[in-house]
Amino acid sequence: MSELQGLQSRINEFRSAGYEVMAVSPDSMAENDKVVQRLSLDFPILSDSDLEVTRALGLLHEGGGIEGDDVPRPATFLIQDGFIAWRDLTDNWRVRIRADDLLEVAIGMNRSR
Amino acid sequence: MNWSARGAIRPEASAGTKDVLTWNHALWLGPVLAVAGFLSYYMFFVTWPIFRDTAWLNLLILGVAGFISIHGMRRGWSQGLWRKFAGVAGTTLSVLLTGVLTYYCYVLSYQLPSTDLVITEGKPLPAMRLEANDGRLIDIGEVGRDQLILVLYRGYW
Repeated sequence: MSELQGLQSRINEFRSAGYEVMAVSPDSMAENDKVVQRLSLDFPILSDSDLEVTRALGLLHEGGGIEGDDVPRPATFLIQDGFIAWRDLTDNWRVRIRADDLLEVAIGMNRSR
Repeated sequence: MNWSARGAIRPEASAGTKDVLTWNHALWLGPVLAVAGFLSYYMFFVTWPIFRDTAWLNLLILGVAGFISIHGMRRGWSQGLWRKFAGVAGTTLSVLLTGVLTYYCYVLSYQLPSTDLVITEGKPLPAMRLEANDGRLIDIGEVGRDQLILVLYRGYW
């Protein structure tokens, strides 16, 4: 199960813990929509095609893409009240946090408990 | 069919081994399994974290493929020039593919820029508007005023 499918599999738990889930990718809106349809995601993928958000978050990986294009370093953030409350930066771009582990962190930090 | 190669293994066969086959299946099985073990990582197993993260299953398949290839090469050594060549080529391919997958998973995958510049805990999420896949414009700063899981994703999977 891919990273996004993993999040989808726990989407109800994330929502009932009070979290919105969103993904950001450097792909175009049309490409992102294909992924959403193919994986039946019911959270959005936002298009950061000019890497503005990637740069603002300090995640630019120059030449890190399959075709040597610039991509974001994979990262997961937990945002609360407009601030970064928690982050996960993998040291290996093939390895992402598992949805179950993320859910555990999210529930543990849920301020509205 | 190389009859001189057949002749070459007869003494071995008559010496009591069960090896009366003139076909050396390990010669093709090793490299074929190696190619399957290599390609199936990218085409199939990469989807599941349990197989993707350490590539243990594919490396195991490649290890078995390498073992079979070496076995085929050793048997083929006395089975004529063609089989000697096939054995060396098959073993080289198996070892090469194992090396490439190992390099990809244990060296290349760790090549990431420094985390020094990455936004830290306690910093505000910048307000930025992005186009969602359904065409909506979403301000992540706005959504992040409540609670938000934001995943930066580079595509592929």
